[in-house]
Amino acid sequence: MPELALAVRQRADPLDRIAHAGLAVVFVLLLGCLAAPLATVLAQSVEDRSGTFVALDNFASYVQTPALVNSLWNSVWVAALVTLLTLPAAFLFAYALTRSCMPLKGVFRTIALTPLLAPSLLAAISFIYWFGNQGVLKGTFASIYGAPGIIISEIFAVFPHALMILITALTLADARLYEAADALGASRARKFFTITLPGAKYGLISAALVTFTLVITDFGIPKVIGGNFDVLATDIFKLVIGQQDFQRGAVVAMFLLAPALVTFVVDRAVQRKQTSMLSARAVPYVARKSPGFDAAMTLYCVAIAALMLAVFGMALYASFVKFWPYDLSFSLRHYRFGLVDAEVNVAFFNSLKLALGTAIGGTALVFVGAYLLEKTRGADWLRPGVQLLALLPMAVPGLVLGLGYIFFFNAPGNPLNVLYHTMTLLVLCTIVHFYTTGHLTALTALKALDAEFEAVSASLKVPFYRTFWRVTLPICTPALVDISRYFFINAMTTISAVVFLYSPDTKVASIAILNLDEAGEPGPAAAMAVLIAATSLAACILYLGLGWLVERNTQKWRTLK
Amino acid sequence: MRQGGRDISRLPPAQRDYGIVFQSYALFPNLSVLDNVAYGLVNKGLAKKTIHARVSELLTLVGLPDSGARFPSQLSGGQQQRIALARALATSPGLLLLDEPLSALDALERVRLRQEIRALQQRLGVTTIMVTHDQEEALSMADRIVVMNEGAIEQVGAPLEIYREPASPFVADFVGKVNVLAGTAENGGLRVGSLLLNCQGSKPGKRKAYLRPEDIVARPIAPGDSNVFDARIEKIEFLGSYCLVRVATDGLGQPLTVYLSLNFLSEEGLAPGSSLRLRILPERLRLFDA
Repeated sequence: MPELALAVRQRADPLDRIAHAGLAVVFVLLLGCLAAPLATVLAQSVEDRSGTFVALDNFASYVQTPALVNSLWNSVWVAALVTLLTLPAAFLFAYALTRSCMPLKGVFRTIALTPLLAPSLLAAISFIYWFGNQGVLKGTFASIYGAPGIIISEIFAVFPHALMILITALTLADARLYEAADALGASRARKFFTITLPGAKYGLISAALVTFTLVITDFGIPKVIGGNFDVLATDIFKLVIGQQDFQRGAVVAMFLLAPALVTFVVDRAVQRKQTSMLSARAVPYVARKSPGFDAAMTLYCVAIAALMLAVFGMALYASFVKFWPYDLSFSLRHYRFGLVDAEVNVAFFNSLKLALGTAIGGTALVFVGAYLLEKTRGADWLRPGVQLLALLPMAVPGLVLGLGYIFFFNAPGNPLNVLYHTMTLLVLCTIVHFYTTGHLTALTALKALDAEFEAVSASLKVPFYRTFWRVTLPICTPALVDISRYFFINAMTTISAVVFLYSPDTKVASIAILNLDEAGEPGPAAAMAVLIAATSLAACILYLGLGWLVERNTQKWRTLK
Repeated sequence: MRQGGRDISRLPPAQRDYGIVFQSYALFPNLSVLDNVAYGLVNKGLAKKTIHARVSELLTLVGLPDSGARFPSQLSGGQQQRIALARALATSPGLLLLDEPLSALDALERVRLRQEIRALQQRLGVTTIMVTHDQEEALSMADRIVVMNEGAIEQVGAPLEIYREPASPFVADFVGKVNVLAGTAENGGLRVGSLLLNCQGSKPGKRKAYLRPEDIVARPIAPGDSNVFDARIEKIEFLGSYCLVRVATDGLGQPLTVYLSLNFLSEEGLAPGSSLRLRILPERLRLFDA
């Protein structure tokens, strides 16, 4: 009876069309705010000034400019060296946190993650106060301005990023392997090299790539402490803003895009392997007391934490000093100057606006997008596109994204150019810049929900949005809080993308620090950096409170027995 | 696909008339039992009082009258599945779909709940389709069984029909235990090894005979009965009142699996290595093309 075997297509529910329309909106938004700007960067890199296609001529002329090639080399070796130095340090720290019984783990972890609260350039400012021409320890380095300054500042800035990845990798350990090794009489070192290290292999690869990419694409630190030491990130700024040489700027952007893309692809592949390594039946590893080892680990963590606090503390101290280095008495002068005289209050409030806008708008967009992708059916032609565009931002450095926004939104023929220089565009750009992490968090939360909820609702003739509102959203609120905090902190501290997009009216605080520093006002610059960090910290505490409230009001069912 | 005279093949789920229960229960974890059961009712714009009355009626029906204020995580698997059933029945659907509803439960709970579901279904008289991989469950609960293999229907029939007269080797193999004897059909019957088995007529040629363990009997065997042969016990698997016994037979050239009662084994003092006479019931041999 072959005619019975014919596939019968089900008609779409009229309500599903609402979901499809929503998905289409997300798609168009990502297309306009991500794909199109990126495409213009790509186009600019293979066109001349008049817009004629010149294939790889721009790349050829780039390679023939010794100064630019020099920057490329500088970027690569500095990023490689920072990776080599950061990785073992972060690994040992993560090892201490996950595999020892040292006390105060929470405190060490928190201190090690503090750099995330401030723009990366805070480290550069602080190191100038430590080792600069008028620094406390001046003379330690021949000159802190240049490669040495960039390297130590970057280590401080990327340490928490590497640490988080490695903690995750080391937490995913199967205690049964260690028990088996103990039963076979393996030594501590042997267990480390045959179980621990191979187990953390993927985490190490991932951390190395992320570190390298973060360093090579970072703009703030080389700008502040780089002196005459040129790198790709500062070149791109000079070429585009200084010389209006969009074509070669786009070429540099391609060089920045390359490592980020590689990192992204490898990281995705590695993550899949990492999660599959730990079976559902694995028994979590619990560290056992070992006084000598625990003491050594504690010592190491105290040393690292002390260094971290020294960097942070110097910025804090310098921001309250009256007139460095001559009058070290306490004063709020820099805050007053920074906030009032340099009109930084505008910038600070802009930062708050940006962070709030990103935290609210970004969370809504990311969560609705992830929900529509994961939990609704139909419109299958849209889905791969949305999926790809949701993951792509992780592979795009902020500088490249910002450059794309100039090219795309500032193009005279584009009706969207009314957005150029507006806060709306800054918010959109920042949401897109940090989209992927939020998206993945939302997906994880949604995947944890029973896949049959939607089918049950349909059978009960309850529209999908009702189930979204009554069930999906309440269950996922802790994830929403996490996503929102992530957006807020990153919007507060970001420089790279927005550095191309602000106008005097929409200047944000992290940019104001750069300008103050450039104007020879390191004191107010430090004060602003401290202010951003304090705001981020306050936001974290508020989010903690919010998380607690959410937990109490929407997650009560989790703890009932 | 037609339901109640209406073509529903192309209708989206929300426009079909059915209630569904999943293996995973799919209860909304953040809603109380009451809210779960009322989920489809609230949407109908009924008065609160009506909804409450209906919910308590349903909870009583599934035997959990006092559980309304609790949350799904506070209930056992079997209780959760009862609530899922109440939720599916709340809107009085014309068809109830049960998608492996018992697979996630432990063995005892599974047996208890399958009797309850069957009783409930008969009381309400709601047409029910239940998907299961457990043949025993299918045999014990269904009025009619549809055996499917890779998306295609192999056989439709009453449980006994499916069991006794499987339409294909797949059905014979899938439902219950079975011995497979390779032989050749001749005029007189089926030749397996050196034995000629008496069986229902079949065209000559290579055949496979499917035979359930209980269709090989140790008693009664009358003198003059056909299909009788000597066997030697190789292994006894104790299952309770019955044992699954593997016997070797010289004539057949292959071992057979037979159900023998525990009483019979102890009365006769049978143990691995003992010999006994067995008989194959001729009318129970099902022949299929080899």
